[in-house]
Amino acid sequence: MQRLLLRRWARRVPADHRARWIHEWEAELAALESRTADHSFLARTWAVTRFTLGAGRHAAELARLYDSDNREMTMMTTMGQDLRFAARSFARTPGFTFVAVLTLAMGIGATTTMFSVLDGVLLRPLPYHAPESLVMVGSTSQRFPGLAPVSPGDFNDWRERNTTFDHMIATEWITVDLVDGDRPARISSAAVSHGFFEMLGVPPLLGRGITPADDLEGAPPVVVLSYHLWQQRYGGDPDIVGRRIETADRVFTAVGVMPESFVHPEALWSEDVEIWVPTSQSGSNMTARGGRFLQVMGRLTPDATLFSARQEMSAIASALEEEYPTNAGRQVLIEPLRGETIGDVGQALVLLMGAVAMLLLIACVNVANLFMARAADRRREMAVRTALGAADGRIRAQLLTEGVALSLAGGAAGIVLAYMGVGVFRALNPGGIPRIDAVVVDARILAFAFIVSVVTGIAFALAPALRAAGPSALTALRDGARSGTGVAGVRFRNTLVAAELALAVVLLVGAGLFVNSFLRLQNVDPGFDPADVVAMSVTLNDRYETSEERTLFHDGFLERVAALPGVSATAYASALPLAGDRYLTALNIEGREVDASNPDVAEYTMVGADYFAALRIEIAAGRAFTVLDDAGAARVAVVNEAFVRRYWPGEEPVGRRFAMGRTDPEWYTVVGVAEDVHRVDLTSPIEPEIYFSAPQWGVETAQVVARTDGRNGSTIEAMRAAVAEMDPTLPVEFETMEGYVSATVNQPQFYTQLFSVFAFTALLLAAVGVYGTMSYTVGQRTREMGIRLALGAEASAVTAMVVRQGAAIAIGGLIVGLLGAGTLARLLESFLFGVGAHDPVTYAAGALFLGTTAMLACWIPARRAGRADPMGALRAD
Amino acid sequence: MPRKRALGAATVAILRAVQDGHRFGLDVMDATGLPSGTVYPTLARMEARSFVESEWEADADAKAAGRPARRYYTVTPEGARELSEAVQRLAVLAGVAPRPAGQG
Repeated sequence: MQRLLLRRWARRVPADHRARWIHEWEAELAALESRTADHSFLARTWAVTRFTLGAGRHAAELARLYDSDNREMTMMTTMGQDLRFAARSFARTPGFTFVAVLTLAMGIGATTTMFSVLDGVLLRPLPYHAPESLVMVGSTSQRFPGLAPVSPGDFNDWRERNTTFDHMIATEWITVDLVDGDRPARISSAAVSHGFFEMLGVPPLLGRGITPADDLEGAPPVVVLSYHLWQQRYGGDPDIVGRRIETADRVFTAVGVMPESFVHPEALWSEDVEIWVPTSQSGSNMTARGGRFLQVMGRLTPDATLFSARQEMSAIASALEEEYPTNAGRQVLIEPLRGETIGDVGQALVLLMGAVAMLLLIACVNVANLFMARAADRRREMAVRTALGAADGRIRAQLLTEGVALSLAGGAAGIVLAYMGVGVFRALNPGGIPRIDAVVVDARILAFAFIVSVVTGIAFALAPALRAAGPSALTALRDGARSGTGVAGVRFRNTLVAAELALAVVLLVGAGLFVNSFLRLQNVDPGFDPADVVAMSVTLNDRYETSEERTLFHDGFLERVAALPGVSATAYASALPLAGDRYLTALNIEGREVDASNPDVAEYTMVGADYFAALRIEIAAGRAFTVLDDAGAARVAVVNEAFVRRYWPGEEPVGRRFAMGRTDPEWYTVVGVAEDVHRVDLTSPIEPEIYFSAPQWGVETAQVVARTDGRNGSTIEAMRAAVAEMDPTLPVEFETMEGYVSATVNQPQFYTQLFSVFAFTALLLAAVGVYGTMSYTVGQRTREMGIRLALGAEASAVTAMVVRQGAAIAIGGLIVGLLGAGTLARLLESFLFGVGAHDPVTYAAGALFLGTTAMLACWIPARRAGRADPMGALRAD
Repeated sequence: MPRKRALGAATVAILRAVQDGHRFGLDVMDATGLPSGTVYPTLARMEARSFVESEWEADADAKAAGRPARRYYTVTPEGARELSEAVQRLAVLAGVAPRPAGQG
């Protein structure tokens, strides 16, 4: 190690001294080693290392003495001197150093945290082979714009006819209820067509993937397991391939395990997939054209481009439109997988990154200001050094070195903050941020933090450095003992503070808009009362063969739940609002023209009689369902107000009839109108919806809702026990309706919180900036204040004078900031709900808030100015 | 050519140590308590100004001791003159100079 260093440094020693230099150091090292032979290993290593470090300076000195052309060495030595000098001068002013490092650490830490997230989510390539040629392929139409799911019939034709794809595969979300092992579990799974793993270029860790033979109708059931499931449920069994995997309704054979790092593509932005089965096992009809439920992905051939693939697929879609009437108006949309996985979140992250960059800028301005004040205090020192012959460049280099050293210290602390910040970010993840697990602080991030620190250091030290040296520096000596600040210096620092305030206004207004929008979001009436409602889902397996058996189970279960203490109303429903499930049907409304390319549609839900009472959904007209609306009675339906608005505007809905689709012979009579309920989220417009009476349909899979007297926890336990009593093999899941509601606002809430934290930090830093500048100015002018007071000025007048000067700076900053916010707020528009990007109240509030803070920050030093002791001030210096 | 400058305190200590018979670097470090990064560059500087000279230890001696030959420094007459001037100057300064900050 030491020998290695010596050899490296030897190259710097001028050639005719080199042999002697090496010889001397080897002799000295040998002497030291023999002297320390009886020391402990650590002590010896330390002594030898410390000793060897001197060789570098020796080499440098020789280079300086005998080789004046060796600039590099000279620079290295002066930089070392500058660094040592900087360290000493920071140690002398611990207060300044602490505040500056802390400010920088906050700025750099926040920036590094956001960059880690941005890097993990946006910048890193997807974890597949050659991810750039992977695309999502979707069905699209006027009615369902965007990448809508695809029908199996379309998928088969697309796959057969295209020439621009190496692979085209389909996936479908399914759930698998495992019953092997001690506890039944519902596993989120995907049915995938053959070639899925080959397309992504990730081979299985054990066994094989899904083959074309697996895909055939009637093939023996096989599964591929995720690494996680293999480890957790099957204990990492090395003989897993070939093992029986039992579900409620069939026995699969495990054929493969995927590696730990493998992520299902859609799981990049949603929950993870633990089991893959062939599409032949999904239970869906894989030749149908009616239902559209497949996600289609593909890998382009090396020759194909997005453009050529779109051209070809569009021709295929047009041909299918001719061949099948149901395909009228259907086109194909192809988007890169990368863009689809990131979506809106990317925009939000870029926005937050911008906010955090502003915060860093504020931190920079603050430290620049501190540096300016310090530079003013050190003008005499600089002047003395100039007088003693220090070159201007040397003094500038000294100040820049100090700046960079300071900001590297801040950066080091910032990296620690970033480590914690990333942990907090991941813990707070509101869901829906793709690839959040890929977010780590690694070498890339450290490199980023390092570059940011160096640039930051140069940025804030540059202005003071340029001002510190130069011919004017010498005037500091003539000023006598007073270390004055020139008018230009004061103006420059005031500009910095104003700029800082302007940036803080921008962030504050942005945060204000977010908070405003979030409050409105929280005040949206979902259309039902989510308080004290428990939701449970239970899926019956194939042991409940007939519709009667299933209805019998549900009725028996409901009876038990209704008898529980504290439960006032309970009902089943095929899907719950805000829970993510939606079912859509085409309609044939009596008396309305049918338009084949733009059919009338509505969402539908089958609900039990007490559903409206349990969720407290108001009935606006007619009646709700009763127990009499059963299988034997006339078919009835309740529609929502949006349905009436779209299909029967201004007409009496109760008593009118419709059928589902064009071919279904059954007519349903509307008996009531329910008030609108938000189904998707709280902001989307409400679509027409139909409620059917569940007993007239048979209850297949059901959610059960129960209104409690507030004791949700004990009700959940009682319901779990009731299911176990009836059939212990059934997996159940619980959620509260309030949970579903708050899940829809998680993401906006998260962005609001983050933005508010940034804005608050900015406010704090800006306040510190104003306070620091004003109190420094007041300190500089103590003598002047003293004279004013001695000449009879009122203390309040002196205070007012200082406040006025602070106010002038603040108003300038506020005006620029409001203009800037007005320009930048447009970027926020797509994140706002119920509040415009130029909401005047928010702007006024932001300005008022910051203005008040700024005034408070300068009032404290101003009061000190008013209380200056006239005699003391005059005698000073 | 390095310009002529008065000797600093560290330089004085090092020259003193060499004059007192501490002839090679490690010994000088021990005698003065200064780090290697000060001692060796200073010796190089003093040699460039001809205040010290160096010679290699006789091979026979080194072999006998079982180590590489050492580089021995001696103070030249010119160096000795400079040293005594510097010592006098430092003595005068020591009488009037304020104590260094942070040590009082």
